[in-house]
This record gives sequence, structure tokens and C-alpha cells, in this order.
Amino acid sequence: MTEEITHYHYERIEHVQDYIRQHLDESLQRDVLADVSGFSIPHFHRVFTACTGESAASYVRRVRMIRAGQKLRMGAIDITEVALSAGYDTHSAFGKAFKTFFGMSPGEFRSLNCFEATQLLRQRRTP
Amino acid sequence: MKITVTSIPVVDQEKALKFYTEKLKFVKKLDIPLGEARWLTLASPEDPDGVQILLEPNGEYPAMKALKQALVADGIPFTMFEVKNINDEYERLKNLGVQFTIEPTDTGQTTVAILDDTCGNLIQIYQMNA
Repeated sequence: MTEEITHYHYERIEHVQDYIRQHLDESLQRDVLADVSGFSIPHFHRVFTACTGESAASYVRRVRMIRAGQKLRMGAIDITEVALSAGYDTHSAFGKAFKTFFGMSPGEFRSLNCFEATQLLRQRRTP
Repeated sequence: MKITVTSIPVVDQEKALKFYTEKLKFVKKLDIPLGEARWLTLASPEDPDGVQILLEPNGEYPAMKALKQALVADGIPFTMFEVKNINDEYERLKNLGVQFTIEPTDTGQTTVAILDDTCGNLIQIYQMNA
């Protein structure tokens, strides 16, 4: 069954995106996000994907990864801390995900100049 | 030549005044009516005769509006303030409902965090590391 996506749906999903950005250090489980949206879990998933072009889980990973990139652009020295706050338990798991997302290791990213890093972050802002 | 004033672009000066005094704890220094706007400056209570922040009502000027939006989208702060203990300040501000885009992060010589001033600007706070 298909459902028309309305302005109301976009508003609810923007509200969820705001919530995600403000609670990036929390687990952001799907039931919590669905609750924030005011939709059931399956309905939330359908509407989120229809409105944004990516799943909620993908959006959360992307926003966390961009924040990690911003920290490295600032010169964060502890990559393990950056990994943990991006939701990864280990440096190696984070490094692998980071390379998939940005096409380079966290160490390589940190060595970019501010303009280069910002250009790359900009390119990854949308799915 | 001395630096006495630095500007922060805002749209609503009263809203900005509330945020910068009630949350960041700056104090009002000058408030001079200038037609529809005000020459509205703040000082740090730790340095009351030091550099003043001008809450400049130019946030709707198209070029400034575009700059502010681009900086926020890129996660780049408009300006920065030094604090003595960044973790204490971070906790205090979080408890007041201030939103951070970057929590305290050690960058070697400094530890920095970035907050949203609710007036369309990101503001960096930093602590010099020992």
C-alpha cells in the first residue's frame, strides 16, 4: 500500500532529525525515534525513507560520521575517543567505517587542511 | 590601535541579549538606542573593561545571512571564547538547555567545544591545556 507523503510527514521527520542531532551520544534505538515521530515503528521507517531518501539508521551513522570528521578537522588527538563518541567500540571498527564513508583513514583525514576537510564533509552531508 | 569591540551578527537583539547574558553569563555594557536598533554591547564579568561583544543587528543582511547559514552547515564557529574549565562550563550550559554540536574535544594545546547560540551562529569555547 502506498501513502502520500505530506507536509505533515516532512515536519515530523525534520523533528526526528533535530532530535537525532541533539542526542547523538545516546543509543537512538528505533522505538525511541518512532516515538519522537509519533508514528508506529514500521510506519516511521517508511515515512523517514520516503522523506529523506535514506533509512533512519543510515542517517544516524552519517550524522555521527560527519561529527567525527568535524572533530578531526579541529585536530582531535584521541581517535579512540572520536570513535567511541561516534558509536564504535573499537578504533579498528571505526577506522573501517570511516574509510568506507570518507574514502580515507581518520589519520589521513586529520592531515587534510581545513578547506579540503570541509569540502569532503560537504560532499557527505547528503546521502 | 586597540581592539575594543567584536561583532556577533544577530537578527533579534533582545533574544540574543537573553542568551548571551542568561546562558553565557556576559553582562550588558552599553545599550544605546539607534532608531529601530540598538548599540548593544556585552562584557565579560571576568574582564569588565575588556573587549566588548557587539550584538550587531545585521543578521538579515543577505550576505551575512548566507555566510551564517554556510558556516553553520559546515560546522564552523563564528567566533570563540576562552573558559577556565571547559568540562565544568559544558555541563553548566548543557544543564541550562544549551545545545552543543561538538562536545569537549582535546586538540592538544586546547580543548574545544562548539555550541549553538540560538541566533544562527555556532560559538566555540576553548580551554588552554596545561
